[in-house]
Amino acid sequence: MRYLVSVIFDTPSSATVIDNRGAQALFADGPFLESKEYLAGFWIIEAADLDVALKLAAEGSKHCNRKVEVRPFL
Amino acid sequence: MSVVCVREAVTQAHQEEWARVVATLTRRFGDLDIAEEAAAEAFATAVARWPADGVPPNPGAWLTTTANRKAIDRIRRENKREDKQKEAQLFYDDPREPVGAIDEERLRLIFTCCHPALAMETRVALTLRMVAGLTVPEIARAFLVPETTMGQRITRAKAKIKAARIPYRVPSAEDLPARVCGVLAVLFLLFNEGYLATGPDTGPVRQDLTAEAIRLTRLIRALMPEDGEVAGLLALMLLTEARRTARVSASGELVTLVEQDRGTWDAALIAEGHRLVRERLAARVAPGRYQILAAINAVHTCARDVRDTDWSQVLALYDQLVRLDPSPIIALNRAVAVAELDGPQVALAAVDRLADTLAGYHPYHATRADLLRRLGRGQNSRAAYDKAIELAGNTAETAYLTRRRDQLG
Repeated sequence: MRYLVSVIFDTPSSATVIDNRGAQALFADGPFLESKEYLAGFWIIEAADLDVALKLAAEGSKHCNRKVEVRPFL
Repeated sequence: MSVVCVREAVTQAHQEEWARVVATLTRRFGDLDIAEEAAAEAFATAVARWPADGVPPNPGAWLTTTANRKAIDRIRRENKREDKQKEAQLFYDDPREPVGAIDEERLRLIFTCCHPALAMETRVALTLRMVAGLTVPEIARAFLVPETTMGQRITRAKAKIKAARIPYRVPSAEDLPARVCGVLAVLFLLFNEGYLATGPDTGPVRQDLTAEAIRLTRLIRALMPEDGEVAGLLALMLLTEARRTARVSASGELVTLVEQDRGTWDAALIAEGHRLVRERLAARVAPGRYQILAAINAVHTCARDVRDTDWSQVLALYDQLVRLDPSPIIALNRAVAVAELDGPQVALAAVDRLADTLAGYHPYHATRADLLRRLGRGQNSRAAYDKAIELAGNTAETAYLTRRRDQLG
């Protein structure tokens, strides 16, 4: 198992949302979703299976004092 | 061969072999879906062919071989490129793997179905389908949801296992204790649903569920004979199940431990439960929660008459349990024992301290109601019974609580 990439985001107040599904591109002051909890960053890891990934994520959750979501690549 | 004999043989084979067949196939083809479908088809074939051809001398091997062929047929039909390697399993068609390896296979299956990444209700549903071999309609009935809902729950579970890369293996030694806890929690949930079924439309005690829970726990015990908590859970289930017929009256009302006819308790189950508890005591290992709960049940079931109950032993065990798990529910149950030793006034003080956390829990109000009744505080007792009846979800309990409240006069 390996860490490949580690990214930390700036706060949601610095975000911009783009919606270009319609006729014209619409830009809006962020964030995408107003919520008390928000995405602070992400890691890309390489792990053989979910148990390995969960171990890594558990360590990350403890050290960074945050909840962590694990999701596989398609 | 008579039709009845064959039907019995198939039922027995289903009980004994379902999990083995599913586990073996999952291992070979790396896919729970293929394994489940192939196993179901193999058993259907048995139902169709055994009356004419006779029951094979080794039903397990016959079923595994048949299921293996069905799985290969499906893979060929689907004709996916990556499954060509699964097709290579074609040449690997051994009749019967050594017992140890198959035990390992079934453990893999159980631990995967009970993986913590799956929601609890999902784990229960998946375990019942893949390990116990219950049909989707049977599981749906057990949990009072529509068949389509249960079917989707199981389908999504298998999809999540694939997509999230949940590994198909027995957990490593360091993970094992926590993961075993997870499995036991699933089985305990299943047993509880049978022991005190929720909902007004179902019978209050569902023996099919308790029997299934016990059967699965026996399987885990056979696969992990050294584990103390597995033994403890089995003992707890057996000692509880032993009292099943005494628990509900002919009129469908709950009969409390105090009022039960102890002559109707199942002596064989009690003896087995006591044996397991003694075995764990002799092991001299710090007991987990299931072992302690089993020991408490053992103390109760030792007494021929309720007046012979060794309440100080019960209290001592609850003190141990509280140290392990300071949950308010355990504190509540402990208070019932306190009432027997120190009187209802002391117990009520302890129970009232739990008001904030247990306000929505009907046994809290039922316990208060009984203590208040014993203290002669009729009006307060009535109010507490009303609250308990409002919150209770089980028909037998509701009937019992209503009777006690109406007896207050």
